[in-house]
Amino acid sequence: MNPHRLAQLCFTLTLMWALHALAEEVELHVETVLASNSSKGFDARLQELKPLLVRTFHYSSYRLVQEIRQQARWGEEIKVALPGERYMQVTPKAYDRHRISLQVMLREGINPTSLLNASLSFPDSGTVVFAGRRQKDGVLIIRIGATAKGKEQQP
Amino acid sequence: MATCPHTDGVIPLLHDNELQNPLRRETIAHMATCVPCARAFSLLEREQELFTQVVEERVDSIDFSNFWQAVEIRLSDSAPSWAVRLRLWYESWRPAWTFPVPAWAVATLFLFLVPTHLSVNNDDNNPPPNTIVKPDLPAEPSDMRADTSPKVPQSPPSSAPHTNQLESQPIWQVGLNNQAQIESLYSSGSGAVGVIIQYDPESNSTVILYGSDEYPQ
Repeated sequence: MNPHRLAQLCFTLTLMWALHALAEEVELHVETVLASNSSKGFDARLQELKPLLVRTFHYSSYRLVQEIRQQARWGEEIKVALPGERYMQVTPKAYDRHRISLQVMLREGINPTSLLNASLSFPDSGTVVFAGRRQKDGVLIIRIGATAKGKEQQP
Repeated sequence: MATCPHTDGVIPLLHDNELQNPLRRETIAHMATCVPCARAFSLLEREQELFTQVVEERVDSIDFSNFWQAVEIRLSDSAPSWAVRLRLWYESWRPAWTFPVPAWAVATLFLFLVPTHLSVNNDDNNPPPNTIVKPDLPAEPSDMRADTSPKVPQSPPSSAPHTNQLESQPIWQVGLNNQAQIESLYSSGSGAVGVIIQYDPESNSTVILYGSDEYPQ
Protein backbone atom coordinates (compact mmCIF):
# COMPACT_ATOMS: atom_id res chain seq x y z
CA MET A 1 0.00 0.00 0.00
CA ASN A 2 1.21 3.46 -0.81
CA PRO A 3 2.64 5.01 2.39
CA HIS A 4 0.71 8.22 1.91
CA ARG A 5 -2.53 6.32 1.50
CA LEU A 6 -1.70 4.36 4.64
CA ALA A 7 -1.15 7.60 6.54
CA GLN A 8 -4.42 9.00 5.24
CA LEU A 9 -6.24 5.86 6.32
CA CYS A 10 -4.74 6.03 9.80
CA PHE A 11 -5.64 9.68 10.10
CA THR A 12 -9.22 9.05 8.99
CA LEU A 13 -9.67 6.18 11.42
CA THR A 14 -8.21 8.25 14.26
CA LEU A 15 -10.54 11.12 13.42
CA MET A 16 -13.54 8.77 13.35
CA TRP A 17 -12.54 7.36 16.72
CA ALA A 18 -12.26 10.85 18.18
CA LEU A 19 -15.66 11.86 16.80
CA HIS A 20 -17.17 8.69 18.21
CA ALA A 21 -15.72 9.52 21.62
CA LEU A 22 -17.14 13.03 21.42
CA ALA A 23 -20.55 11.66 20.46
CA GLU A 24 -20.83 9.85 23.77
CA GLU A 25 -23.27 11.66 25.95
CA VAL A 26 -25.98 11.06 28.47
CA GLU A 27 -29.73 11.67 28.37
CA LEU A 28 -31.11 13.19 31.53
CA HIS A 29 -34.75 12.79 32.41
CA VAL A 30 -36.12 15.02 35.13
CA GLU A 31 -39.72 14.65 36.27
CA THR A 32 -41.18 17.03 38.81
CA VAL A 33 -44.25 15.97 40.71
CA LEU A 34 -46.28 18.22 42.98
CA ALA A 35 -47.78 16.23 45.81
CA SER A 36 -50.41 18.00 47.88
CA ASN A 37 -53.53 17.62 49.94
CA SER A 38 -55.38 20.43 48.23
CA SER A 39 -57.34 18.03 46.07
CA LYS A 40 -57.63 14.37 45.27
CA GLY A 41 -56.36 12.64 42.20
CA PHE A 42 -53.49 10.99 40.56
CA ASP A 43 -51.93 12.14 37.32
CA ALA A 44 -52.32 9.34 34.79
CA ARG A 45 -48.78 9.92 33.58
CA LEU A 46 -47.50 8.85 36.98
CA GLN A 47 -49.01 5.38 37.04
CA GLU A 48 -45.64 3.73 36.94
CA LEU A 49 -44.49 5.85 39.91
CA LYS A 50 -47.69 5.40 41.86
CA PRO A 51 -46.61 2.51 44.12
CA LEU A 52 -43.53 4.37 45.26
CA LEU A 53 -45.39 7.64 45.78
CA VAL A 54 -48.19 6.05 47.73
CA ARG A 55 -45.87 4.08 49.99
CA THR A 56 -43.41 6.87 50.62
CA PHE A 57 -45.54 9.99 50.68
CA HIS A 58 -48.94 10.57 52.18
CA TYR A 59 -50.73 13.09 50.04
CA SER A 60 -54.06 12.96 48.34
CA SER A 61 -52.99 14.43 45.02
CA TYR A 62 -50.00 13.85 42.76
CA ARG A 63 -49.55 15.90 39.62
CA LEU A 64 -46.74 15.86 37.09
CA VAL A 65 -45.89 19.54 36.72
CA GLN A 66 -42.79 19.31 34.61
CA GLU A 67 -40.95 16.73 32.57
CA ILE A 68 -37.64 17.46 30.90
CA ARG A 69 -35.46 15.29 28.73
CA GLN A 70 -32.10 16.71 27.84
CA GLN A 71 -28.94 15.43 26.21
CA ALA A 72 -25.74 16.40 27.94
CA ARG A 73 -22.10 15.69 27.50
CA TRP A 74 -20.12 14.18 30.30
CA GLY A 75 -19.07 16.94 32.66
CA GLU A 76 -21.60 19.40 31.30
CA GLU A 77 -23.73 21.14 33.90
CA ILE A 78 -27.46 21.17 33.19
CA LYS A 79 -29.72 23.64 34.97
CA VAL A 80 -33.34 22.74 35.45
CA ALA A 81 -35.73 25.40 36.71
CA LEU A 82 -38.21 24.08 39.25
CA PRO A 83 -41.42 25.61 40.58
CA GLY A 84 -41.08 27.95 43.54
CA GLU A 85 -37.91 29.79 42.52
CA ARG A 86 -35.89 26.67 42.83
CA TYR A 87 -33.59 25.07 40.42
CA MET A 88 -31.50 22.03 40.13
CA GLN A 89 -28.01 21.69 38.69
CA VAL A 90 -27.23 18.23 37.39
CA THR A 91 -23.78 17.30 36.12
CA PRO A 92 -23.23 13.85 34.68
CA LYS A 93 -19.74 13.09 35.87
CA ALA A 94 -18.74 9.65 34.69
CA TYR A 95 -19.78 6.29 33.39
CA ASP A 96 -18.10 3.38 35.06
CA ARG A 97 -19.08 -0.26 35.02
CA HIS A 98 -22.58 0.48 33.78
CA ARG A 99 -23.16 3.04 36.48
CA ILE A 100 -23.68 6.73 35.96
CA SER A 101 -22.27 9.21 38.45
CA LEU A 102 -24.09 12.52 38.90
CA GLN A 103 -23.51 15.67 40.86
CA VAL A 104 -26.85 17.11 41.91
CA MET A 105 -27.32 20.52 43.53
CA LEU A 106 -30.64 21.92 44.63
CA ARG A 107 -30.89 25.66 45.11
CA GLU A 108 -33.67 28.06 45.94
CA GLY A 109 -34.33 31.79 46.18
CA ILE A 110 -33.55 34.85 44.09
CA ASN A 111 -30.06 34.83 45.56
CA PRO A 112 -29.71 31.09 45.27
CA THR A 113 -29.02 29.27 48.48
CA SER A 114 -27.79 25.76 48.30
CA LEU A 115 -30.29 23.36 49.80
CA LEU A 116 -28.58 20.15 48.96
CA ASN A 117 -25.45 18.93 47.30
CA ALA A 118 -25.24 15.27 46.43
CA SER A 119 -22.71 13.19 44.61
CA LEU A 120 -24.19 9.83 43.74
CA SER A 121 -24.31 7.07 41.20
CA PHE A 122 -26.92 4.64 39.98
CA PRO A 123 -27.17 2.01 37.24
CA ASP A 124 -27.41 3.12 33.64
CA SER A 125 -31.07 3.94 32.90
CA GLY A 126 -31.73 4.06 36.63
CA THR A 127 -33.30 6.79 38.71
CA VAL A 128 -33.09 8.52 42.04
CA VAL A 129 -35.84 10.49 43.73
CA PHE A 130 -35.47 13.75 45.61
CA ALA A 131 -38.34 15.04 47.66
CA GLY A 132 -38.88 17.73 50.20
CA ARG A 133 -39.29 21.36 51.12
CA ARG A 134 -42.87 22.29 51.24
CA GLN A 135 -44.29 23.85 48.13
CA LYS A 136 -47.49 25.64 49.23
CA ASP A 137 -49.42 22.85 50.86
CA GLY A 138 -47.41 20.00 49.43
CA VAL A 139 -43.98 18.95 48.40
CA LEU A 140 -42.04 18.75 45.18
CA ILE A 141 -40.89 15.29 44.24
CA ILE A 142 -38.16 15.21 41.64
CA ARG A 143 -37.14 12.02 39.92
CA ILE A 144 -33.88 12.12 37.99
CA GLY A 145 -33.06 9.43 35.47
CA ALA A 146 -30.02 9.10 33.25
CA THR A 147 -29.21 6.89 30.29
CA ALA A 148 -25.76 6.77 28.76
CA LYS A 149 -25.66 7.14 24.99
CA GLY A 150 -22.93 5.81 22.80
CA LYS A 151 -22.02 3.12 25.31
CA GLU A 152 -22.26 -0.52 24.43
CA GLN A 153 -25.38 -1.97 25.90
CA GLN A 154 -25.04 -4.93 28.15
CA PRO A 155 -26.35 -8.13 26.55
CA MET B 1 63.17 3.19 -42.42
CA ALA B 2 61.64 6.59 -41.82
CA THR B 3 60.22 7.26 -38.41
CA CYS B 4 57.83 9.82 -36.96
CA PRO B 5 57.59 10.96 -33.35
CA HIS B 6 53.78 10.71 -33.57
CA THR B 7 53.79 7.05 -34.50
CA ASP B 8 53.98 5.76 -30.94
CA GLY B 9 52.34 8.77 -29.33
CA VAL B 10 49.07 10.02 -30.79
CA ILE B 11 48.36 7.40 -33.45
CA PRO B 12 47.34 4.67 -30.93
CA LEU B 13 45.17 7.26 -29.21
CA LEU B 14 43.57 8.17 -32.53
CA HIS B 15 42.93 4.51 -33.20
CA ASP B 16 41.33 4.11 -29.79
CA ASN B 17 39.18 7.18 -30.51
CA GLU B 18 40.63 8.96 -27.49
CA LEU B 19 41.51 12.24 -29.21
CA GLN B 20 39.32 15.29 -29.13
CA ASN B 21 39.19 18.07 -31.71
CA PRO B 22 41.26 19.99 -32.83
CA LEU B 23 44.09 17.53 -32.03
CA ARG B 24 42.10 14.77 -33.71
CA ARG B 25 41.78 16.81 -36.95
CA GLU B 26 45.47 17.73 -36.89
CA THR B 27 46.49 14.09 -36.39
CA ILE B 28 44.26 12.91 -39.23
CA ALA B 29 45.73 15.64 -41.47
CA HIS B 30 49.20 14.65 -40.39
CA MET B 31 48.57 10.98 -41.10
CA ALA B 32 47.54 11.84 -44.67
CA THR B 33 51.07 13.11 -45.34
CA CYS B 34 53.09 10.83 -43.00
CA VAL B 35 53.70 7.32 -44.28
CA PRO B 36 54.99 5.84 -40.97
CA CYS B 37 51.98 7.12 -39.08
CA ALA B 38 49.58 5.85 -41.77
CA ARG B 39 51.26 2.47 -41.65
CA ALA B 40 51.14 2.35 -37.86
CA PHE B 41 47.42 3.18 -37.94
CA SER B 42 46.80 0.44 -40.53
CA LEU B 43 48.68 -2.06 -38.38
CA LEU B 44 46.62 -1.20 -35.38
CA GLU B 45 43.42 -1.67 -37.36
CA ARG B 46 44.61 -5.02 -38.62
CA GLU B 47 45.51 -6.13 -35.09
CA GLN B 48 42.05 -5.15 -33.96
CA GLU B 49 40.42 -7.13 -36.71
CA LEU B 50 42.50 -10.21 -35.94
CA PHE B 51 41.80 -9.95 -32.22
CA THR B 52 38.07 -9.61 -32.81
CA GLN B 53 38.14 -12.53 -35.18
CA VAL B 54 39.92 -14.77 -32.66
CA VAL B 55 37.56 -13.84 -29.84
CA GLU B 56 34.47 -14.45 -31.98
CA GLU B 57 35.78 -17.83 -33.08
CA ARG B 58 36.37 -18.88 -29.46
CA VAL B 59 32.99 -17.59 -28.31
CA ASP B 60 31.27 -19.45 -31.13
CA SER B 61 32.90 -22.64 -29.95
CA ILE B 62 31.30 -22.37 -26.50
CA ASP B 63 27.88 -24.02 -25.99
CA PHE B 64 25.53 -21.56 -24.23
CA SER B 65 22.39 -23.58 -24.85
CA ASN B 66 22.05 -24.75 -21.17
CA PHE B 67 23.52 -21.66 -19.56
CA TRP B 68 20.36 -20.31 -17.87
CA GLN B 69 19.14 -23.70 -16.77
CA ALA B 70 22.46 -24.17 -15.03
CA VAL B 71 22.19 -20.76 -13.38
CA GLU B 72 18.69 -21.54 -12.14
CA ILE B 73 19.80 -24.88 -10.75
CA ARG B 74 22.62 -23.21 -8.87
CA LEU B 75 20.29 -20.53 -7.50
CA SER B 76 17.76 -23.08 -6.25
CA ASP B 77 20.49 -25.15 -4.68
CA SER B 78 21.79 -22.33 -2.52
CA ALA B 79 18.85 -20.64 -0.75
CA PRO B 80 19.87 -17.38 0.87
CA SER B 81 20.15 -17.23 4.62
CA TRP B 82 17.52 -15.50 6.75
CA ALA B 83 19.82 -12.57 7.29
CA VAL B 84 20.15 -12.11 3.54
CA ARG B 85 16.42 -12.48 3.05
CA LEU B 86 15.73 -9.93 5.78
CA ARG B 87 18.13 -7.51 4.22
CA LEU B 88 16.59 -8.01 0.79
CA TRP B 89 13.13 -7.48 2.26
CA TYR B 90 14.30 -4.35 4.04
CA GLU B 91 15.87 -3.03 0.86
CA SER B 92 12.71 -3.70 -1.14
CA TRP B 93 10.61 -1.76 1.40
CA ARG B 94 13.12 0.98 2.09
CA PRO B 95 11.20 3.60 0.07
CA ALA B 96 8.17 2.96 2.27
CA TRP B 97 10.10 3.49 5.49
CA THR B 98 11.00 6.96 4.43
CA PHE B 99 7.51 8.45 4.49
CA PRO B 100 7.08 11.67 6.49
CA VAL B 101 7.31 11.91 10.24
CA PRO B 102 3.68 13.18 10.59
CA ALA B 103 2.49 10.02 8.89
CA TRP B 104 4.44 7.93 11.37
CA ALA B 105 3.05 10.02 14.21
CA VAL B 106 -0.55 9.51 13.09
CA ALA B 107 0.00 5.79 12.60
CA THR B 108 1.57 5.47 16.05
CA LEU B 109 -1.22 7.47 17.65
CA PHE B 110 -3.79 5.28 15.94
CA LEU B 111 -2.09 2.09 17.08
CA PHE B 112 -2.00 3.45 20.62
CA LEU B 113 -5.58 4.67 20.70
CA VAL B 114 -7.29 1.61 19.26
CA PRO B 115 -6.07 -0.86 21.92
CA THR B 116 -6.82 1.74 24.59
CA HIS B 117 -10.34 2.20 23.27
CA LEU B 118 -10.89 -1.54 23.05
CA SER B 119 -9.52 -1.96 26.56
CA VAL B 120 -11.93 0.63 27.95
CA ASN B 121 -14.87 -1.07 26.26
CA ASN B 122 -13.80 -4.43 27.62
CA ASP B 123 -13.68 -2.94 31.10
CA ASP B 124 -17.21 -1.66 30.59
CA ASN B 125 -18.40 -5.08 29.53
CA ASN B 126 -16.78 -6.95 32.40
CA PRO B 127 -18.29 -6.76 35.84
CA PRO B 128 -16.03 -5.24 38.46
CA PRO B 129 -13.98 -7.76 40.40
CA ASN B 130 -15.67 -6.83 43.65
CA THR B 131 -19.21 -7.08 42.27
CA ILE B 132 -21.55 -8.72 44.69
CA VAL B 133 -24.41 -10.72 43.25
CA LYS B 134 -26.99 -10.99 45.94
CA PRO B 135 -28.14 -14.58 46.19
CA ASP B 136 -31.50 -13.57 47.61
CA LEU B 137 -32.46 -11.42 44.65
CA PRO B 138 -35.50 -12.79 42.87
CA ALA B 139 -34.85 -14.28 39.47
CA GLU B 140 -35.16 -11.73 36.73
CA PRO B 141 -37.85 -12.21 34.12
CA SER B 142 -36.38 -13.62 30.96
CA ASP B 143 -38.97 -11.86 28.82
CA MET B 144 -38.13 -8.49 30.42
CA ARG B 145 -41.69 -7.80 31.50
CA ALA B 146 -42.32 -5.68 34.51
CA ASP B 147 -41.56 -7.51 37.69
CA THR B 148 -44.14 -6.60 40.25
CA SER B 149 -43.21 -9.22 42.78
CA PRO B 150 -42.13 -7.82 46.13
CA LYS B 151 -38.43 -7.33 46.62
CA VAL B 152 -36.52 -8.31 49.67
CA PRO B 153 -35.02 -5.18 51.20
CA GLN B 154 -31.46 -4.78 50.18
CA SER B 155 -28.57 -3.28 52.02
CA PRO B 156 -28.53 0.47 52.65
CA PRO B 157 -28.06 2.77 49.68
CA SER B 158 -24.39 3.28 50.29
CA SER B 159 -23.56 -0.41 50.00
CA ALA B 160 -21.42 -2.10 47.35
CA PRO B 161 -22.60 -2.04 43.74
CA HIS B 162 -24.69 -4.81 42.31
CA THR B 163 -24.64 -6.44 38.96
CA ASN B 164 -26.88 -4.73 36.50
CA GLN B 165 -28.49 -7.38 34.35
CA LEU B 166 -30.61 -5.47 31.85
CA GLU B 167 -29.96 -2.20 30.12
CA SER B 168 -32.18 -2.06 27.09
CA GLN B 169 -35.20 -0.87 29.08
CA PRO B 170 -35.33 1.57 31.94
CA ILE B 171 -34.52 -0.30 35.08
CA TRP B 172 -37.57 0.82 36.97
CA GLN B 173 -39.69 -0.87 34.30
CA VAL B 174 -38.11 -4.27 34.65
CA GLY B 175 -37.74 -4.31 38.37
CA LEU B 176 -33.97 -4.57 38.54
CA ASN B 177 -31.72 -3.05 41.09
CA ASN B 178 -32.07 0.69 40.83
CA GLN B 179 -30.24 1.31 44.03
CA ALA B 180 -28.19 4.49 44.17
CA GLN B 181 -24.82 4.81 45.78
CA ILE B 182 -24.40 8.04 47.69
CA GLU B 183 -20.82 9.22 47.58
CA SER B 184 -21.46 12.48 49.39
CA LEU B 185 -24.55 14.31 50.51
CA TYR B 186 -24.67 17.47 52.49
CA SER B 187 -26.67 20.57 53.14
CA SER B 188 -24.93 23.52 54.70
CA GLY B 189 -25.03 27.27 55.05
CA SER B 190 -28.09 29.43 55.49
CA GLY B 191 -30.22 27.01 53.47
CA ALA B 192 -29.23 23.94 55.43
CA VAL B 193 -31.98 21.38 55.72
CA GLY B 194 -32.31 17.98 57.28
CA VAL B 195 -31.77 15.02 54.99
CA ILE B 196 -33.10 11.47 55.17
CA ILE B 197 -32.23 8.70 52.77
CA GLN B 198 -34.84 6.06 52.24
CA TYR B 199 -34.70 2.92 50.23
CA ASP B 200 -37.94 1.53 48.87
CA PRO B 201 -37.38 -2.17 48.35
CA GLU B 202 -40.55 -2.75 46.39
CA SER B 203 -39.73 -0.26 43.67
CA ASN B 204 -36.01 -0.73 44.20
CA SER B 205 -35.61 3.02 44.40
CA THR B 206 -33.59 5.39 46.50
CA VAL B 207 -35.45 8.41 47.83
CA ILE B 208 -33.61 11.38 49.27
CA LEU B 209 -35.84 13.51 51.48
CA TYR B 210 -34.51 16.97 52.14
CA GLY B 211 -36.14 19.46 54.44
CA SER B 212 -37.17 16.43 56.45
CA ASP B 213 -38.07 18.57 59.43
CA GLU B 214 -41.05 19.72 57.39
CA TYR B 215 -41.80 16.38 55.89
CA PRO B 216 -44.76 14.46 57.40
CA GLN B 217 -43.47 11.09 58.56
